[in-house]
Amino acid sequence: MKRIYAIAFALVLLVLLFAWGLLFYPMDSRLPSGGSLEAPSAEHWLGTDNLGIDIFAQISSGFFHSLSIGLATALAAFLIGGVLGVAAGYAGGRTDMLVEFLINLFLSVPQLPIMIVAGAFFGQSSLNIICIIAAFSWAPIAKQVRARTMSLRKSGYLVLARSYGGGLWYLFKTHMSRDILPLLAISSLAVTGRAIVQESSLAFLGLSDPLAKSWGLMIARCTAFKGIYFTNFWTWWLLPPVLSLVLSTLLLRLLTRALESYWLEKE
Amino acid sequence: MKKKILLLLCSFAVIYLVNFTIPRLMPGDPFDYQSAAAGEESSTEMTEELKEYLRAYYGLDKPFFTQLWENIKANLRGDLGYSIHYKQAVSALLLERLPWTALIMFSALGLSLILGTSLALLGLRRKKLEGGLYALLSLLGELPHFLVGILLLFLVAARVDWLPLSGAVTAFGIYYSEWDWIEDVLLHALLPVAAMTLVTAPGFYFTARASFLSILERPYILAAKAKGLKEGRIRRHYVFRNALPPIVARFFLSVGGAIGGTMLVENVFAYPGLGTVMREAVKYRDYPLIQGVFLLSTLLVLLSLFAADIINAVSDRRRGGSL
Amino acid sequence: MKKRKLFSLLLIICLALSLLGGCRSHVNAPAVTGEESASTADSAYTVETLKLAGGTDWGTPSPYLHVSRGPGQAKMRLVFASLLEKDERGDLPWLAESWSFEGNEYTFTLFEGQSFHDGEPLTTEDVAFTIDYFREYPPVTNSLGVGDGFIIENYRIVDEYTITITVKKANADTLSNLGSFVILPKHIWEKVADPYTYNVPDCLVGSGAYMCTGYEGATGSYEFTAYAGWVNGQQAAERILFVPVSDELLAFENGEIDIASMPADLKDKYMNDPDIGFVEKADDMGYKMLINFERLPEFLDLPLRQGIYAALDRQSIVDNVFRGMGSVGSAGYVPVSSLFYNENVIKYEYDPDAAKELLGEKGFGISLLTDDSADGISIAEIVKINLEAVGMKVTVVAVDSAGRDDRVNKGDYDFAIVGNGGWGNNPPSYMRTLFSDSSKYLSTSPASMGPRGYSNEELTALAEGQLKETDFEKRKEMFKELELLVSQEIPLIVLANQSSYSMYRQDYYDGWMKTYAYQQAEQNRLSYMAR
Repeated sequence: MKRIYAIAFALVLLVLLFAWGLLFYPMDSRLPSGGSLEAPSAEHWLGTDNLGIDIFAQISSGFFHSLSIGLATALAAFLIGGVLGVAAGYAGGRTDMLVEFLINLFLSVPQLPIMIVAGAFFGQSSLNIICIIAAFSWAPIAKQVRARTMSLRKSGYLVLARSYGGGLWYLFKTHMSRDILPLLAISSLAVTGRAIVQESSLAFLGLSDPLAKSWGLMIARCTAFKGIYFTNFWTWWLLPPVLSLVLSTLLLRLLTRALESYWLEKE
Repeated sequence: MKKKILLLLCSFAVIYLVNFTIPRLMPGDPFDYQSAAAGEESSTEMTEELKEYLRAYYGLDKPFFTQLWENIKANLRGDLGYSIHYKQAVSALLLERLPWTALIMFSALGLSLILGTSLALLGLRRKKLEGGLYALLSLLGELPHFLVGILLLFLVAARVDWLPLSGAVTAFGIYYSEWDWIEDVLLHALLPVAAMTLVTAPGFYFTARASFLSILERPYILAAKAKGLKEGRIRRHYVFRNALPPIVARFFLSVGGAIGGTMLVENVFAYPGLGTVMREAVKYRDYPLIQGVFLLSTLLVLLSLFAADIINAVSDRRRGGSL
Repeated sequence: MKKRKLFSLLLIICLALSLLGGCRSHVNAPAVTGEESASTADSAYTVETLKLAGGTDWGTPSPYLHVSRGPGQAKMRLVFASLLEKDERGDLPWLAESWSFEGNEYTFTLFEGQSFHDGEPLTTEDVAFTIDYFREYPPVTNSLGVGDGFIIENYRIVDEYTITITVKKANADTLSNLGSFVILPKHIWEKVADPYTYNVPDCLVGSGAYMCTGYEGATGSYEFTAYAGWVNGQQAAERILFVPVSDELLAFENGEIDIASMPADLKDKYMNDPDIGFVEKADDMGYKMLINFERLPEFLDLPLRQGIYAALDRQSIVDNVFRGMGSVGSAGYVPVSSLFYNENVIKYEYDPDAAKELLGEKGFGISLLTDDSADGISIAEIVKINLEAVGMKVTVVAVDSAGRDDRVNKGDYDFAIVGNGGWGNNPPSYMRTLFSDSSKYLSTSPASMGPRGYSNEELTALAEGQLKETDFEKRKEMFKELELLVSQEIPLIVLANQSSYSMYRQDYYDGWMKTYAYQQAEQNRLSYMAR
């Protein structure tokens, strides 16, 4: 439990830092506010990029871009995975077969190629990116939930409750949610972290929202800059987005794991 | 098994159809995309007549279902079509690129398997080490491939002068022997493979660890221990051999993720594999090439999944017999 | 036991796949290296090798197989020669030693003794064959037109070296069009029924000063070797190599390549280096903003467009996005540094207050389409902020280049920012497809597509008229008149032009040049000739 608080505290600190950067830091994340490639200074905390845009401001706005994409994706995966998983596990029969097929289909396609094509096809808006990543995130959740529901369905009290004529929603609310919701929540949290990584991968390939100051895009721009290897520009242009990405995914991962083990212990 | 095969075929059909449809629905077609960045512009532009001519030549003016049918027929003959951007048979293009991707991917997967399994074995023997190892690897496994690649590129390759920054071989290199050439290829592959391995190995570690632990609890191991057999002998003969199938299955299950990872890492190191060509193909709306790359990766993934299923089934049956 | 077998099988597969990768590309390596050791004896060339940054696959350098972009075309044109070439001032003999024209008849006389790379002589038979063949199968780079638009009526072979070509209707660009199609060897192509898939070594037997002796698509490496049978002058380098590099600048610093483009932010460092020479591509890249008048007919009202010009701080685009390398766009479209620039065009100053007055209180809400390149997005951001400062509401829409082109072609935009190269080309023939009502939509590339829903008879008359004028000075005057009119009428908003530089080590080779028509030194075959 302590561990969860510690990690959550670190995450909150991170959020606060970037919120401050977004709201009170005087530099704009879109427009040049200084010379090209200025080294970090009191004015520009992390220096500027090749267009003279402040890097800390970009990182801050990138954090909320990434986080909102991650959370939205997780929510979508939570809903789709939860509904399909419960439905398949509970109803069985044809529904189950169909859902199982869908799960297997989405688990077996090579994700990145299809994301590249879909990203180019649907256009590079944040909403489309969320849809695409969510489409590939719900299957593992649904699989877990389905298995869990199936085992629950066979358990004594549920069979009993059903024989009394309880509807699905009632059964879920009173008997199953206690078992399934934590599982769903934890898996969805894991999706948040993974979605952030996937969005940055797509952005690195130039397939995410080009208007958002996303970290992947910053990394792509920096690595494409000619002569980046024999100057020290990369120390303030490349490292901040890379480290922010690493830090936030790791913190999310740690949180997921801590919650997982906490839940397992409680069981 | 029959159900598995049926599922596989259905998946393939769905993916094939999606793969055929999506590129054609993308905004822009291969001939419309004309504007270009500085230094790329063509001084003579395509007129509408020329575009029409080329659309007709590549059969893109036909109705959708005719195109689909002809595409299926051609694919069944083993003809993947003709790249519009590169003006080359797609199969020839893929054959040129696939070996590089395969080199990176299978070396990385192979290395990950060995590394992950050895670390798991090490962890079993040294309990103290295990806690740290577990934490470290579970973090490493969460990082995106391309990020690790970039870090290696800037922190390692750019700092030392014996490591190349990009490419697969030295251009117009002069080799005095076969070994020279192999050394060159390995040197170029080193960082991409390292980036992949760092991210993939943790998965193998966890699979191997879980597998070892579950085997150690099996009655026959306890029996062997009770018989007073030596630890080393038990490990080699019973644990390792019985724990291997899930790990090997993991190898095949990882192919799907590894293809994506390889494509990203290739873009970091400008490695001439499928990933770089896929990006170009999407940029230029080169339908046949997009389909080709896609078909190839799908086949690879589905076959690997199938292989994993077979391994699991066989080992299940054997376990059923031996227990 | 089975497990071990499985494991070793796995390893074998790995190894086999890896070796497969090796073998294929390995075949090419010795072929290239073999030639290197064979050279050095001949010192007729200025330098032994010229190395350029490669790494991108621009296709096989053959007329039907190259990629339809500048670098692909340039490589093909090294291997295949056309009748004429252009230098700093004008036309130059290339395969044709002399030429003359009268009315619709153009007569070319070839150099004697020129042969194809396989030793077969090049004669007017081949020229005639090429015309017929291109009429039937248009090549990737096509200056002759397609179908009914094919510009040649017929030809007459006078003798082995002289041919008279009759065009349907001569105009100011005809000589340039006839001079620029590349000549195919008849003895090879007469047997080819589908040139678009004819991908065998024979397709590289060309007529140019250089032979393609090495090409590997996957790595984007090319090797060109001077052809000894070339009669019109001497090649500058024995070999030209396009080498894949990870970082162009790093490679240039290390001497791995001989010419590289110079990033704006490192300009000072290199400008002060006396050993380094430059070729400037002045104002060659340009950004304009198209207004879709079909959607926004209000903007057909001239003061509104003047208001837009006054609202835009275009100097800040040059300063911030181009890092100072460029100029504010001329409202007459042809950039300031061009031979054809008219200094009398109206210059619109940045004046937000005047803009507010001109645009009135309407508060237009528009979407602004741009591509997803870093520069395109930065420019869109600046335009957005400028326009919102004067009371408009702007939503930026960024899609990838192919998507952007698609939307512009279909007219699916309000305002669109389009950037393209070639603004420094002479004569500025792009003015016709931009501003003539009758030719405007012929070419469907956003770069040369004029404003939608706008027509102007006066502009059309001038834009079409210049094409018929074969006198150089008179044509230039017509262009200048056209520019003045464009700056007054504002059919589209010209944002800014970007200049770029190629830099090279002067002490090694300083033959890099640009022609009066085209500014890319690396893509110009005269850069590779001793002159």
